[in-house]
Amino acid sequence: MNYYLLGMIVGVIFALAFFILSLFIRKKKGTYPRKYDERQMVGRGKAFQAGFFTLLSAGALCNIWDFASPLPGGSFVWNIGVLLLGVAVFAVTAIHFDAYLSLNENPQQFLATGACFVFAMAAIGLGNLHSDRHEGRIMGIINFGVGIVWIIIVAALLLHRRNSQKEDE
Amino acid sequence: MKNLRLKAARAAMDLSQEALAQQVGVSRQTINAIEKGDYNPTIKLCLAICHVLHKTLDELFWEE
Repeated sequence: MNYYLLGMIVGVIFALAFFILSLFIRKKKGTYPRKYDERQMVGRGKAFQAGFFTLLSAGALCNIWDFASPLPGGSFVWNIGVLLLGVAVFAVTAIHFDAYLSLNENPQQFLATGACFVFAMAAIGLGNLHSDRHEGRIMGIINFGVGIVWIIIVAALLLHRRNSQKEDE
Repeated sequence: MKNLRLKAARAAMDLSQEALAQQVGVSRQTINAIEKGDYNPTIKLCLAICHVLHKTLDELFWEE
């Protein structure tokens, strides 16, 4: 019995159930589907473009490097890192164009959820980093990486909010 | 170019950017960007703003 595979399947089922439940709750609260205005849609287009090309470039660079000389820790971790980098670039670009949060999303609620994610991922990641098993350390690095992405998103949102409040009405 | 006529029309109706944005169905930052001249709205959005502020397109958006 491969317990990692079993754990992964249970994790995917749990995440799917959580996602479907959150859709129901958000639909009832009126925050689903997300609504973006026309300026935000343009901003999101630019953000998706930036994220996609970052993913493409960084992914190509990593895999070419891995082909020439094996990357420390293995290509799997680096490819996940590339994915997280693309997500971070998309998020920061979208936040810059004020297109990350939709019209019917509550910024305070999002920041609170983000903060919880940061702490959870950082705690799990730090815990796994000291694992005796190589797979545990890999998962620790990945969890830590996800936590860092959330820190970047929350920090970018807070900075953007502070700058927006300084704008002249 | 800044849209001072829009800002004046909004102020005349005692509406904040947030209030106008909510009535029109966009974000406050979009209204701010239009007033600062950083964003050119579509005709649909222009018409929606004119409807709320009881002005014509010429009065708010025609470039002189």
